[in-house]
Amino acid sequence: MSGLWAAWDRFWFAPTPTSTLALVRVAYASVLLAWCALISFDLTAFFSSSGVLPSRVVRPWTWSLLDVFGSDTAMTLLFAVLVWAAVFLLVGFHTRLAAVVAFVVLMSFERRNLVVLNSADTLLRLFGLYLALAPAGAAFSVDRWRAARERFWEFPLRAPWALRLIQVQVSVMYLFTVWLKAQGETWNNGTAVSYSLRVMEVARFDLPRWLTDSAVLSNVLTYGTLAVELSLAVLLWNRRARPWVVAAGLLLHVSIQTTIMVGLFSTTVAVGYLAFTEPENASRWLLRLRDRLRRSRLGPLRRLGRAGPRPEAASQPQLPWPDPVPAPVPASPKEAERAPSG
Amino acid sequence: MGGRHPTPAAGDGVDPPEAAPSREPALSLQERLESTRAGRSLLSVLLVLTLAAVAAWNLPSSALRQAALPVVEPYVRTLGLDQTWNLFAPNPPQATFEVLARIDYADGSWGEWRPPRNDRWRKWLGAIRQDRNMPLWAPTAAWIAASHDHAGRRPVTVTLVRRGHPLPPPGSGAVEPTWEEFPFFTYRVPEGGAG
Repeated sequence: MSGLWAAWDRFWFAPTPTSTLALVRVAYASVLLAWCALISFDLTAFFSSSGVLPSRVVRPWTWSLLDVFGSDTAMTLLFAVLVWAAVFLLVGFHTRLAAVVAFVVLMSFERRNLVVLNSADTLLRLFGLYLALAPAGAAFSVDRWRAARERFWEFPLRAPWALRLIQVQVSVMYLFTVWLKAQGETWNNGTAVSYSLRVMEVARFDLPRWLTDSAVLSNVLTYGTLAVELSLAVLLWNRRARPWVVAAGLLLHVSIQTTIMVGLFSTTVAVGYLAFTEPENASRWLLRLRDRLRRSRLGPLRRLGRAGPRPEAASQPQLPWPDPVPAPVPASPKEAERAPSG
Repeated sequence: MGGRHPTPAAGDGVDPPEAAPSREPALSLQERLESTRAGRSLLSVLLVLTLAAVAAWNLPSSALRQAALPVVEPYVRTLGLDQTWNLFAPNPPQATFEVLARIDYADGSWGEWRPPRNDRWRKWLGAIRQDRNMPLWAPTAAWIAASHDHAGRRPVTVTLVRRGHPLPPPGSGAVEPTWEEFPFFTYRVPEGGAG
C-alpha cells in the first residue's frame, strides 16, 4: 500500500521544473486570444439580448456572469475583460488572478449560449480550469521577473498535479471518443470518415469523389483514425512512443482542420500535447530562446535575455528543497521507458 | 516517505544568506499545502473525486451513469467539468443539410440570407433545423430580419428553409441525390420592426 501511495505521491506531487507549465500557459493564452478574435465577429449575434438567443437557457447547476450583468454593454465589457485576462496570462502578469478571471469569463460566455459550442470550447474551458489551479506564473513570466529577476531563466520546482490533470484530460478525451465511436455502425464498417467528409454543413470544400467514394480508402481512414485516437489515449504516457503518437495526432488533427470546420479544436489539442513535454526539453527550449534574446538587436529583449546569472550557471534548475519522494532507480532501460513523465 | 518538505526559508544549503535578492520568493499557500503530507492527502482526495466525477460523466448511457449522475452533476456542472466527446460519434450524419433564409421586403422584392461559413453558425443552424429546437426559430428569424432592415428596405417576412439530401454509402457508385428544400418556419416581422 505504501508503495502505491509513493507512486501516487510521485506522479502528482514530486517537484518538477515549471518550464513545461510555462509553455502550456503561453500556448493556452495564445489560443484563448485567437478564440476571442474569432468570436468577436459574432458577439452580438450569439450573446446579446438582440441576438439569436435573447436569453440564456438555464440548466441546473450552471452559472454565468452574464446572468448578473445582462445588458449588451456589460457583455461587451466582460468580453474586453476576457481579452485583458488572456493578455495577462500570456505574459504571466498577476497570473493566478488572470487565469481565474479568464476561466470564469470564458465559462460565462460558454454557458450563455450552449448551442454554438464545440469540442474546442469544452477543451479550452477544461484547460482553463486546470491552469487556474496551477502555479502557471512560476516561470517565464512577468511575475517571475518581479519576484526573482536574478533567477528569471530558472524554472522553480513545483508539484505538477494541475499539469497532470491537463495530461489526464487529453487521455480521457481520446479514450471516450473511441469508446463512443466503437458503438457506431459506420465506425465498425469503416464508412464513417467518408460520410464525415461529405457533410456540407461542416466540410470546408468539396473533396474529390475518388477520395470520398472509395470504400477501401474510407476503411483505411476510418480504422486509422480509431487507431491513432486509441494510441493517443494510451501511448502518450510512454516516453519512447510519445514522439510518434504526437506526430500521428498532429497529422490527424491537421487533416481534420484542413477538411472540416471544427473551430480551434486542433490548436487546443496541440496545447494538450505540449503538456506532455519533458521538463528538461521545455527548459532547454526556453534557454535556447534566452540565448537568442541575448543576441537580439532590441534593447528590452536583450535585457530580458541577460537577466540572471551566466548561461552555464543557470542552465540547470535549482532544487529549493530535497525531493521528498526520490524516483526509484530503474532496474532496466525498459523500466525507464515505462516511467511516467511530466 | 512523504513527510514535510523542508522549505527554502528553513535553509537548504542551496543559496548563501547574502544572496537574499535572488532567493526564491516565500512559499505560497499552495506550496505550503503541497509540502506537507496532510496537504497532499487533502489534494489527493480532491483529485480522486474529480477524476471519478469526470469518468462517471463520460460513461455511455448506463445504469451506473444514471446512478452516479445525481451525485456528480452539481460538482461537474458548477466547475465546468462537463464534457462530451461525440464529434461524429457514435455515427457521423448520413445526410447533408444546410439552412438558409428567404427574406421578403415591403417593396415586393426578396433576398436570400446564407450564414457565414464558420463553425459557430454551423452549430447554430445544425441545431435549429431540428424540430425539437423549435423555440430557437423565431429569435433566429427576428435577428435575420433586424440585420436586413436598412437602406429603406423593410423585411416583412423571413422564411427559414432547410435543404438537404441523404448521402449514399461509399463505394456504392450511386449518384448523389438532388437537393430538396423544405421551408419550415415563416416569421412575420411586427409593424415596428424586428428589434
